[in-house]
Amino acid sequence: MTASLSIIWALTLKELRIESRNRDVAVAIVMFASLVIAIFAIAIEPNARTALETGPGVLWAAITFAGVVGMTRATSHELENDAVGALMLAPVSRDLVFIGKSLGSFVFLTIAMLIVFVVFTFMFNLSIFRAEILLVALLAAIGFASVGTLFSSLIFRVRAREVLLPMLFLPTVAPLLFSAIRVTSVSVAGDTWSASLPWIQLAVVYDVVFVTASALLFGYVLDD
Amino acid sequence: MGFLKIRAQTALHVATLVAMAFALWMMFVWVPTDINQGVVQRILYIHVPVAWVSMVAIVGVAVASVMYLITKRENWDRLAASMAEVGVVFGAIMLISGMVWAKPVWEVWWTGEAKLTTALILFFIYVAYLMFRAYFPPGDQRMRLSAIIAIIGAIDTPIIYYASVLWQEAHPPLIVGPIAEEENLVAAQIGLTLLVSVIAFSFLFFSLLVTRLSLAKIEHDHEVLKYRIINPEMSAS
Amino acid sequence: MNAVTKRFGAATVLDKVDLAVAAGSFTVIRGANGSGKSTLLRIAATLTSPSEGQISINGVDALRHSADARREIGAVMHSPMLYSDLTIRENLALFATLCQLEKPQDRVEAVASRLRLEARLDERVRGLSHGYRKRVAIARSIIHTPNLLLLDEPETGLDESSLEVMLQIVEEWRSRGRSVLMATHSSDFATRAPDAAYTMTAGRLEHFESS
Repeated sequence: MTASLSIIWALTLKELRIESRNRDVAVAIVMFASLVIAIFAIAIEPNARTALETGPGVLWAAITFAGVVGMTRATSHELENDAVGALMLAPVSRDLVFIGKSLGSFVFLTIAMLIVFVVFTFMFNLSIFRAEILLVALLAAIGFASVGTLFSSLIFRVRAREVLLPMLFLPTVAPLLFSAIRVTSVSVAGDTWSASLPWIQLAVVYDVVFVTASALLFGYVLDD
Repeated sequence: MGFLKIRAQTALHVATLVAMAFALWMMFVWVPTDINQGVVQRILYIHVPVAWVSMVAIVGVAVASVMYLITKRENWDRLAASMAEVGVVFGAIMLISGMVWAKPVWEVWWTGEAKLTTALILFFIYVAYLMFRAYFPPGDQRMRLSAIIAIIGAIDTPIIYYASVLWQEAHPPLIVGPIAEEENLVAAQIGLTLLVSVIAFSFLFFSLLVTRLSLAKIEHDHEVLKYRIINPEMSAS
Repeated sequence: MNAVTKRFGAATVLDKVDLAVAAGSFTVIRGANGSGKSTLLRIAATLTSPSEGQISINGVDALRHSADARREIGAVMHSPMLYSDLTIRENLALFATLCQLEKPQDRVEAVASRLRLEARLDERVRGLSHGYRKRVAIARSIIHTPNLLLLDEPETGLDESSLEVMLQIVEEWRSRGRSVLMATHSSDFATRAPDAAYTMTAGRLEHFESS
């Protein structure tokens, strides 16, 4: 068990170290999401009422699309020099590789989301730093990281991967997206926790199912 | 053997033809026009069976994909791919026929109703599955990876449905005139027509599937032959 | 390795290949480009799974228990398989940690000095030349002292002195009862006294009698 943890930690550290050196993923996510939010803010010109109606949808659409861009970037360093081969040659089972890689993506996604939240708060004049929104954001980051890691590893040898990743990723994470949008909108509308609860439960179920399934299926992916 | 197979296929096609013709007669001539919705209600005799067949296809793709991962036999992969292709075509018919029906009855082409949302998202997942297959070079790797995509899609299905139901509760549907609640003689005729239509469309699905499967087999043989002509030194194993 | 077949689509790249590498032996496979050598080595390294056939390494079924089998395998493949944004030390240390070696940093120092990399240990891989990357890949392949060393055309990009180091490693492996399996297209290299030599043509392996 401790051996597994040290392996996972080494893999996560590797992801974080690479990311801290070129900042590819976090910058891509933050810039892309901020741009989408800014464009919508200009198009809608949100006032107190329309911000409540459109804001949550815009926020999560921006984060989801930006997440796809980020996931594409996150696998590009594995392709260079066929670096992922080093992980495949190591005497480590594939599910640990999966957990290490997705933990790395989870960390970038969470950091990027927090920055995007700040941008959104200014653009839409809505305070979204509330407990239930942060919780659902965390759950969304877990789901995005695991599904994203699975799919981006699955297609990283396909030439059209920039097209295929969103095609696969977006419909698959739809339940998480619904959950995040709904929790955000009931929370900014001033509803109580109980209104968010079924959606948070849904996100938890989604994460449990997909982290497990992706970890199990990952072994079939890293093999060519 | 091959001869028998062709005979069986022909028999299936003929049965499909008869069943479809009979179902068409029932849905357009035999069954009376619905009182509430008028003539548009007849669309449902196509929409419902098509939706049913799409569901069968999703389950079929998932089962065939799991079987492929267990047995590593190419036949399962071909079955999954053929089912997905036919299923996506039926899925498209389902979505379009549903919209055509919804416009006069619900007064909108599209709404956030749970089954619609689910159907649309699943449709996208299976289109992505087929796109992935089209982009990826054939071989073991493609079979394995597309099986994974199909399994992920199947696992996602109930979660998507549950999420859509929750979503719909927040957004009351725009239904103006719900599907007829009348309990008269017509109900029995409607039920019977639907049943026959479901059977006919199931036949159509299997007919198309069998045809697509034999095409997939021919495609495969063609690849092998082409390869042998280009690389004559390679053995025929 | 038993009756291993690999197909890519319609192409049969390996056709029922049987190969046994004895402990303490140096086995060489020669063959033209595209003959299937690399695929054979990738399968032996568990990077690729065969379409049919079995592989066992030191009695471990490499298809069922691939993580255990990989503990016994060190491999140098065509591409160096290194992270460009990490330093040589970090690349080697990552692998050492994944192998759960004790004192990974000491092992990194040891293999690095063996391949004369110590001066550039803290440089990122991105700035290294092809030959250097190859040397890092060789260093990684021996860091966990595997019982089977797989070398796929290791001579490409190496200078004379690095080549000597590599041959010393091969010699050492052989004398300690470990095995080396090498694929090469250089006939010069293949004649340096292997214990067994094969040629590979169009996915088939034949025993090679050196004249």
